[in-house]
Amino acid sequence: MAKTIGIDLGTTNSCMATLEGGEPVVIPNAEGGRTTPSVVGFTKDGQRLVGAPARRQQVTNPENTVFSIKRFMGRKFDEVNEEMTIVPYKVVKGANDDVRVEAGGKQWAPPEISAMILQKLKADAEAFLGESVTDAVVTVPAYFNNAQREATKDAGKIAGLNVLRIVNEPTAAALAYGLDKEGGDQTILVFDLGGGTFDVSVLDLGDGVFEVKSTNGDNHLGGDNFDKAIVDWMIAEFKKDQGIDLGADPMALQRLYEAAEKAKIELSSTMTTQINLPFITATQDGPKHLDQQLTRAKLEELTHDLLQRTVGPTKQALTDAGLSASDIDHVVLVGGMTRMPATQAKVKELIGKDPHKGVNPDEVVAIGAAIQGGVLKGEVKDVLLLDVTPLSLGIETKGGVMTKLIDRNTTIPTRKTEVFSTAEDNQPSVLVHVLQGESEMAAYNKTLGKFELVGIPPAQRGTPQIEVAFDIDANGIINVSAKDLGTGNEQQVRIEGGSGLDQSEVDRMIKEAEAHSDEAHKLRELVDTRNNAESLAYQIEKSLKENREKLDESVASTVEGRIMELRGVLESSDVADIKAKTDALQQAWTEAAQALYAQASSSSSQSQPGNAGDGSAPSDDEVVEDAEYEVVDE
Amino acid sequence: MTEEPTNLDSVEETEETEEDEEVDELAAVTKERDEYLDTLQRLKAEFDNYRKRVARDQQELAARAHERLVKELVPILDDLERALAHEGDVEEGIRLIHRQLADALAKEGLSEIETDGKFDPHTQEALLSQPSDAAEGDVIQVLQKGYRLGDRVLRPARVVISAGSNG
Repeated sequence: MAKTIGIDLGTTNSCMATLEGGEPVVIPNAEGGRTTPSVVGFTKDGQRLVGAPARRQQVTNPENTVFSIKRFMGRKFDEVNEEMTIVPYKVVKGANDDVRVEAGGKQWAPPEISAMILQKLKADAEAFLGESVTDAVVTVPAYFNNAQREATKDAGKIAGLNVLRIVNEPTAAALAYGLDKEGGDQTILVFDLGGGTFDVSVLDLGDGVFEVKSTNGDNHLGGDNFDKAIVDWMIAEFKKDQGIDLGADPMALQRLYEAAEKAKIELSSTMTTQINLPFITATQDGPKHLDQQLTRAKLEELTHDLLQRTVGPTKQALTDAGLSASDIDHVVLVGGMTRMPATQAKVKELIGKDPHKGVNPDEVVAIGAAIQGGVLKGEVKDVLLLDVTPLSLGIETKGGVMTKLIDRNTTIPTRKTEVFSTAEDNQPSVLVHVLQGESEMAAYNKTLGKFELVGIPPAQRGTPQIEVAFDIDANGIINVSAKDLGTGNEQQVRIEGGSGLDQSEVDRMIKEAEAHSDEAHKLRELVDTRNNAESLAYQIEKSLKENREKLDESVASTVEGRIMELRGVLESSDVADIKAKTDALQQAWTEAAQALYAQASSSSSQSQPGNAGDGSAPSDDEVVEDAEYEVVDE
Repeated sequence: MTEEPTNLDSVEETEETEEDEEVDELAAVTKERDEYLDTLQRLKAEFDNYRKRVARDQQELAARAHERLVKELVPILDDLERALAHEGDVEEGIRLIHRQLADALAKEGLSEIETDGKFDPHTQEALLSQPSDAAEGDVIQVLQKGYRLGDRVLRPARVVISAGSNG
């Protein structure tokens, strides 16, 4: 089936996504970028450039480089008096009082320019996906009127796209977070602070249908303003220190803008950053370097007024929707600037709720559009909307360790089997203790069920093969079975509602596992060390018995002594001591084994000394435990 | 007329068997449908889990690739520190360090973007245009070198281009 792409046709940048196996993925453009500048340039030699290359020649060709075309889409000439004075390209009146832009010696309707951007996206998507793309869902701001929506649709048509639907940007963002599946009536506030525009929308969701209750915003507020505030500060500081105005030097200015953006991004995760621009300029005294420290507090001070400009529109949107902040059920953030902690704090201060996080705010609209595309094409079928296991599942193995069979966040239905064995000689049964949780130790996890598989014929430890299978169906019902592969005996338990934990319970269990993780990890290390030591002692003892007569008494008794010493500390909690004694035993046996080999180099059957040689001695990660996966080489 | 009831009976009988058959068929088809749905769900879940595993592997791979590059850069850091600890003329030393760094990056696939001739917005960014004797649209000065990593533009070259002699 042909792919449908979701396109966020933005004022400054555009982004596209599609569904792959039901999951949205962003499609990178031909240059490798995940977003594409919404810029079209017409060079003097008649070339048409779209995206980053168009932006790169903007400075030298401003009158033929069209950006922010979205501001003119579907507008009448009389409506754009303000916008047309800001852009360096020519805006003229066309037929029916429509807007036309003049570039590259021709007049273009805004949908024609937008179509050029869409065409590039379409071509890049086709190159990426390796198939032709015709169907698309395109997003527009919630406040777009009918003419603006029609113009966007026209742009799609011109670009050779079949626009399945025009979707509001805030609706797409809500879809990306799956808010339509929450059920019941929901009120959602979408806060979109992008590169050059700020939009806030209040949505009402009922019966899976979104309704825009109100919109507001600021057409000229975005990340660019924030970058400029930082650059202005850097220039002022440098002037204070060095008496030089960097603002006059285009190369220096370029470096300042790059550094400002980098610093801004860094300060989203750190409290302070060093802006370091060596050889930023030179005077007669020699080279000058810029070395400034910017703290998050300073950044917030510099951009305080800009951020404050979001308050009025947000409050107005609530008022227009007839709601107060407490009526909002969900807050969704869109646009790169919402990564700034100060922005998130401002939203929380205004609404009193933590916003949804997790989806890249630059891509969230395109992702929502892709999801909508999937719904329209029937790709997202309810029966194929699959759950994940919220917590890991496994069984208890020797020493109280939890051995995970199914990791958390595994998509279900799924099935996993692993072969375990016994821990003692002639062990008649194994207890299968089914656990759920993230801790390495069984005791810290939740017991889902227990059963015993009996009737295991007498055998040396490690010999019986018990296949344990976990099967979770699409409804989260877990079937755990244990089968003795030797006799065919089988036991099983069925656990219902194992995945039916509510989110708070899941969160609590994950938190608890984290809180105990050091403790559990130490305990696990001790258990592993003990199991390893115990199993080594057992195997060497066995090999020693079989080969005793071939060995010097002194060698044999050394090995015996080391076994005794190791067994003597097995119950202690001193990991280092157990390890040291394990190594000592291993070394003693290696010497004994060498003696055996030397003695009966070719006549001796290989399996006996080999048993304790480096190859099959249990290493740290191959621990023998009760019901432990063993490499059975025969 | 006498034959009619018999006929009717036989017809009814056939209908009954047909109904039975239909019920059996429905059960069979339902069972088949459930099996197919289960298979499809399991296949999709498997694909999902596969995708998660690939994403995890990729992350690990990226981290390891990183490690290799960082390993190459650490000796350069050492040498820079040696240069800083040294008093007097270090120009020759710095030159060597620069070559060391350039070589290390070249090994990773870094190459310089050529800037002679006509301005190319695919690999270059124009910061200024100035009147000059060079032909209009020619690069007349490189303000910052540009680089390719493999065949992708890592950073465009920042250049000044000619606006022509009367521009």
